[in-house]
This record gives sequence, C-alpha cells and structure tokens, in this order.
Amino acid sequence: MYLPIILYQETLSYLSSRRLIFSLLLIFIPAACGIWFSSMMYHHPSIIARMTAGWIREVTPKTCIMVYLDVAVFPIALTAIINASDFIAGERTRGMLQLLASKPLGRWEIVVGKYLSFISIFLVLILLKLSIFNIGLKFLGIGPVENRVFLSYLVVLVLTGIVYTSIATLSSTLTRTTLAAILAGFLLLIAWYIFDWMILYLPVSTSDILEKFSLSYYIENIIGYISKGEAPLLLRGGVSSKGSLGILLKSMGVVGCLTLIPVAVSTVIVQRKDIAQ
Amino acid sequence: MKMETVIRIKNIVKLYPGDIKAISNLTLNVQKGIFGLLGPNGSGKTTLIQILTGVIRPTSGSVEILGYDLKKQLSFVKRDIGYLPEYPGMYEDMTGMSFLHYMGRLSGLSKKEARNTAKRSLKEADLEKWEDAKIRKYSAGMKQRIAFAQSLLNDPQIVFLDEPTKGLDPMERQKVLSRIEKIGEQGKTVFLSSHILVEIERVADHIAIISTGRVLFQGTSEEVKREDGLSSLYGKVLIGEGF
Repeated sequence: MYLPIILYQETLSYLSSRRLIFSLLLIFIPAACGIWFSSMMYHHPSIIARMTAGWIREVTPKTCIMVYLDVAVFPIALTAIINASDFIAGERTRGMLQLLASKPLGRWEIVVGKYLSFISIFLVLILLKLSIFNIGLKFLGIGPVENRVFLSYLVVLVLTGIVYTSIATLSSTLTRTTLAAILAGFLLLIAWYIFDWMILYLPVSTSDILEKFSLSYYIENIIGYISKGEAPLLLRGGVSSKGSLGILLKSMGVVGCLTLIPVAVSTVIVQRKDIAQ
Repeated sequence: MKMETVIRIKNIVKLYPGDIKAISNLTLNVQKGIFGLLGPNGSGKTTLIQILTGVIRPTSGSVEILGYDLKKQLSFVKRDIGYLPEYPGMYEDMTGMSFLHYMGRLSGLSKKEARNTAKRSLKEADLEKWEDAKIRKYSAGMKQRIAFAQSLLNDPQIVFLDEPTKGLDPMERQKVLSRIEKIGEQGKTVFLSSHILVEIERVADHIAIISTGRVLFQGTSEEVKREDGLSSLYGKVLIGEGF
C-alpha cells in the first residue's frame, strides 16, 4: 500500500512549495476584502441595499457573511481548479507519470493520494478563512455570526471546494497539460456562475426545472436544512428554505456523485490507460 | 555455456490509436548480461521498453520477465526492475536526497532502507555535495545521474535504460557507460536502448536490431564482430530493409 507514502509526500511538497503561498493569497485576500466590505456595509447599509436590488435591507453579521460568501466561493473554486488541474496533467508534463507507472504502486494511488492530500490542506485553509472573517466581524463590532450559520457557510465553501477539486481532477486526467485542465475547469466554473444568475431572472416555472442543474441549488438545500433556513445564498437570490430530510438526502446524493464520480473515473482512466509520452 | 533467459517476449503487437503499428509481432529472448537494443528513430525501441516496464500494455502477445507473466504478475515484475525513461521526469522543487528517498519508498523500500540507499546512491552518482540542493539547480548531466540512480534504488535484477546518454557531453557519457558496465559485472541485466552504435558495441554482450517494430537481427557481441563490427552489420541489416 503506497497511498500513505504519496499522501505524506504530496502534503509535504504542497506545504513547502509556492503553491501554498498562491493558495493563501487567493484565499486570504478575499477574506481581508470581505472584512473591509462588511465594515463599509455596516456603516453604509444603503450601499448593500442598492447593490442587491433591495434583497438585503438590514445589515446583520449574517448578511455580511452571505455577501462575503458570494464573493468568496469564486476564489475557493478557482484555488481548487488551479491545484487539482496539476494532479495528473502536471505529472505528465514533468515526465514523472512514466516513472511512477514503472514503480510497484497502483496507479490509482497517485490520483487518490494527491486528491486526499490537497483536500486535507484545503479544508484547513477554508476553516481558517471563514474563522478569520468571523473574528474580523467581531473586532468591527458587527458579529460574530451564530454557530449554526457559521457552520452552514463553512459547509458551502467545503462542498464547493471539494466538488471543483474532483471536477478538476478529471479534467487533469483527460487533458495533456495543466493549462488546458485549468482552462476547462475555469470555463465550467464561469458557466455555472452565469447559469446561477440567469436562473434568478427566469420565470419560476422555468427556473424550477433548470435549477436542478445548478450546484448551488443542491448546496443551498443542504445548508438550508443545517441552518433551518437561516443561511441563504446570495447566489440563489438570498432566499432560503428550511428543507426536509428527503431533500437533504437527495441533495447530498447529488453532491456526493459530483464529488466521487469524477475521481472514480480519473482513477480508472489512470489505472487502465497507457501512459502517453 | 548455457545463458539464462530473463525476458521472453512472444509475438507482441502494439497498436496505437488509428491502428498505427508500433510493434509488429515481435519475438525476442533476452539473456542475462548487458543487452543492447538498436534501431533507427521510430523503430519501436521506446514502445518495447514501455511495455516491458508496465507503462503501457501490449495489444496482444505475451511477455515473461524473470519467470513472471507481465500481464498477470505485473506488481512482482515491477519490484525487480528499474527504469530510466528517455526523458526522465523530476520533481525539481525537491532536493536530490528527498527525491531519491521518495522514489525508494515508491520502489518498496522501508523508510530506513530508502534513506540509506538514497545516501549511497548519491555517493555513487558523485552527487554527495549536492544532496541538499534542489534538483532545479542541477546541470543536465547531474539530473541524468540522479535519474539513473533512482532506477537502481530497489537493487533491481533488470534495469531498463532508454537512451541513457542522450544530451550528455562526452565526459558524462563515459561515466554512464562505465556505470552500465559495472552493473553488468554485478550479474544484473541491463536492457539498453540506443541508436549510438559505438556505445552499444562497447558495453553489450547481446545485441538486437529492430526496425518498424520487428527484430531484424539478434546475436552475441562475438557474432557481431564476425560481421565486421556493428556499424557494418547495422548498415547491412537496415539497407536490406530499404533504409
């Protein structure tokens, strides 16, 4: 079993590389901006009312975190895409894939080892990011947000991060270069973002059907249940329902599939397919 | 004297997408010692080595390495072989020591074994002073030496070297060839692919010439000498093939 060796080495490499600095910047710059923006919102509530076309009238810690999250999801997804895109395509570009394939390890262990290593680091970064923001709100005298809401938004970032990591893992397996993999992941991210905003402006009958293709719809269902409807997503119009256990399970199933299927497909491809030169 | 056959290749075919035939019904037995595989560019040398090291799979045919069936017992085969690809990959952010330690661990060595072997390998590769330097600071020759060193970490019975002197200056070439001879003297098998005739002629006990995925000649170094040397034989064989 070579998985722990890969897991350890990948974590060590990540923590001692420039990738960590890049990820920290991508994660903490929005956190700092979020704190500053929340402070501005708190002191000038009319700004946010205008910006959100009246959805948010009263500025509370919850609304601050909701607006912040709307901005923060994007860099989280982007960090996931940039890092995971290198998993296989990067090894191929470096010429390491051939060498690794000649070693007695199972090729699937390369994919799973890299994936798990990144996810572990990523979860810590996300927790830090949201915690820093929450502490920032406290210092500004705005917050902090209640635990249930904090946990819900943490779940949003974690699920978004994990899903995009999985998708980028697959695109890294299917493409020949890291850049191509990043581009594919980035295009999907943008498409999903546009799709989410587009749904908000469609008639209810149409949006009810189309929202089933939106990642944030399922994430919203999950956090709606956890927060008992107290943690809406601005991306979904800022309205949250409490949800039911059935909807929660179904949504978790969909998010689970979006997480596991790309990784499973990647491991099968890497395990079975010839390693191209 | 009866020579021990360590690799038996029987009727292997490798088709790439678009039905491009890289290996065409190739049958070859490799005896213990230094085996030189010659052939022009695109003759299928790298494809053959990639098949033998488990990097790619043959479309059909069978391969037996050290008595193990390559298809069914690949993990056993991989424990007893080393591989230096034509374009060896590196983790350039790693130090020489940590790279060899990691490769050693992935070759099945324990932590302690990997550390000791990495240290010894760096010494043998004349890179002792550079063990804590990042690989990106190494010269091309040093990189090749460390890549070569990684292929020997698990003390393999067979080492596959795909054009190991490519891009090296004459001094580095001599070092690599001396290293290959040393491995041969230790009773191990070296499967050496190259298109540099003098190198193969210098080190190989057995030689095969392949072209378009087929074996055109196979014999011992003595047999080659009887044919007025390798360059004469290589010319004759390939001219016969329309080169």
